[in-house]
Amino acid sequence: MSDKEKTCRLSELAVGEEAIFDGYCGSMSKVYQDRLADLGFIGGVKVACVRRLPFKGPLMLRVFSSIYSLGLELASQLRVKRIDQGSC
Amino acid sequence: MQATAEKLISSPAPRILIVGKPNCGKSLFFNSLTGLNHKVSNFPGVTVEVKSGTYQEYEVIDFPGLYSTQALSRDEHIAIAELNREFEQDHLGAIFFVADITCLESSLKLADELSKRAKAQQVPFLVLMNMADQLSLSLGSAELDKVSKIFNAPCFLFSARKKEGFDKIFNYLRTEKKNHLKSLPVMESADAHEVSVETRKQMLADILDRHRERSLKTGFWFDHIFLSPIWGGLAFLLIMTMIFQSVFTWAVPMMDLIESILSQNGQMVASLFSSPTAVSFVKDALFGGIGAFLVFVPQIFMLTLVVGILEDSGYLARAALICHRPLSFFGLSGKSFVPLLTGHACAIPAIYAARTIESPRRRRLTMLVTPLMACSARLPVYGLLVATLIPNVLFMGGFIGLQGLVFAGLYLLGIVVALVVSVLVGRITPREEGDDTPFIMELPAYRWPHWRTILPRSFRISVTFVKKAGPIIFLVTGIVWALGYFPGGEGELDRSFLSILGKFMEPVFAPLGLDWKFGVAVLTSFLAREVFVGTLGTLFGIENSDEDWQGLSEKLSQSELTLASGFSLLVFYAIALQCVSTVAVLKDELGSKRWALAALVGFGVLAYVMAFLTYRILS
Repeated sequence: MSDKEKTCRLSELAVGEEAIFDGYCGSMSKVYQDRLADLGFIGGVKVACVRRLPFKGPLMLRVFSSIYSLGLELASQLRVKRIDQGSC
Repeated sequence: MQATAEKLISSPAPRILIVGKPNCGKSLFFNSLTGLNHKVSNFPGVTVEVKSGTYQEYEVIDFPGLYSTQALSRDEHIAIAELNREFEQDHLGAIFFVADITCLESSLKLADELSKRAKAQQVPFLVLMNMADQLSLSLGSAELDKVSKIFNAPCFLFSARKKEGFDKIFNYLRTEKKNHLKSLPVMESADAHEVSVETRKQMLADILDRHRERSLKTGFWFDHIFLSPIWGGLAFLLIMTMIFQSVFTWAVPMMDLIESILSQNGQMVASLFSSPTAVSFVKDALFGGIGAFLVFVPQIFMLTLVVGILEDSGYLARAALICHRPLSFFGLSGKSFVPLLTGHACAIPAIYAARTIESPRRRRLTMLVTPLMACSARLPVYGLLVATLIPNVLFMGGFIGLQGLVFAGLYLLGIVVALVVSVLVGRITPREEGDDTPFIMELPAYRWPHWRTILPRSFRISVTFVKKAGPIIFLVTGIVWALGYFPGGEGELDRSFLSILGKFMEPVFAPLGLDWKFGVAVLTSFLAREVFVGTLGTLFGIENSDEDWQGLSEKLSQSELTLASGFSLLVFYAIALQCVSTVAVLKDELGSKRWALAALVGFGVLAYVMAFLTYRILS
């Protein structure tokens, strides 16, 4: 891991920013952890923030070539390591 | 092993299971193979079903989309239970795992899970990569071999839309079947399962990225428009307007055609009889009752067609995304949007569509309020009463009409009441563990909808609607006609059995400003609300011996129906749950008689109170 990488919540990513999925914050049900893993949210995978819907709406994320939408509340429970420069 | 092989050759119709993630083109592939026009999808908007058909010597089974073999929502529970049952069947010929090549990586984990099960049961497992026509560059055979190794299964490129690549798949299956008899299993290859899923996904991305650059860019630009705060909002309003325009404007030529056919046939059939009783039955019960309802079928067809186009194009999933935040304020979810939209066609498929909502609480609320959407069965009632009560005044050079505005107001009333009910029920029902599940949704790629799935589906829904409602309407209008015709005969409605019954109940409807004839029509329409028009058609037909729908509107305007009583009737119909089938489906889907009964009684009481208030205010 380089020095540029900093851990933050997925919900904090800006549009166009990329990060490496790192795990979960707090207690998330195993069922949802499994579903997210089914969709590709597995440790080490690159996640890109494609779009943020207005008024604290869901986030649009790209994992490989698939686009997923996650509620902001859920995204705040996912931990990522930023690739680009920036602070959390 | 030998026994399994014998089963494969002795079976008259080996079964092929078509499985894969939602929206990868399974149904189009299935329809192309079998010629059956079934739609099986897991994205919001479609009933979750398992369909079967035949192709050459095979029986083909189409499964709803899955993300995993671990169920999360109710539709997935149903699909996985059915899949497990299929795996236990003897003559499973092959598993066709369909995957969208534009996002192939996301299918790898599910393919792994299913291929392991298939191999354990010595069943051929083929990965069929759909939408090959969407690639900027064709995949070479060396690259295809690499993909096969990554999936640890034979992979084929095909296009369900263009019907390309089918022969290769079935030729391979037949060859494979012969090999199957010699040595099983035959498809174990490479070392794929030893490498992690993430690494293999990256390997797939490395192979495919340059081939699908065009489709990724297209999707990005469409989202840039449809999800932007300004253009996205405008596009949403425009699309919703288009949906309702399709119902009220584009369907009109078809409605006129049906009306003229019914009118001509009504006169012709009635002239075949000499008995006044038979003539009255044909004219008032048959054409006056059922005919008045059939005229509105084109609107149902048009609505399902436009919703189908939006769904298959990938837009409806984006609309659900846009609506997630606003609907969350009312205790619903973005995924509630499609059931609520579909509810404007018919509440029954809309209630089934709510299965895709993971949160039990939000699913229950969505199902409960869906019947408040102005379904197509309300259209005949609204159409008749609005035409009777509201003058046909046009504004802005004929672009906006007063009748249209009242129509829009009635639709809005249903939506507002649904949101208020959702908040109230959400507040008074205790929260349970697992009620608040997070919002997770995959956004399908944008694509041109294909008529092969949309057009037949709209036709099927319309026919099903007629088949479902037709017998009830026929029965009810028949009974109403008999009670209204006897003992006095034509023109003697005031001396009929129905008059005695209606006048007995009149005190219930008097506070709404309605006389006994409307009371009878409201009462009979508790079976199905579209019966209202048929009943009135029969009642006024017996009284006045005329049968066409426009004539009925004129007769109503000459009756004792005032603006206040007419609006109280409209408000009543906008809220009351007058559909036996919807109550039955609610009971099944909510898993509780109590909830279904509460909806029936609760909406009935609310409708009565609001209709009473409307009457008092307007009069």
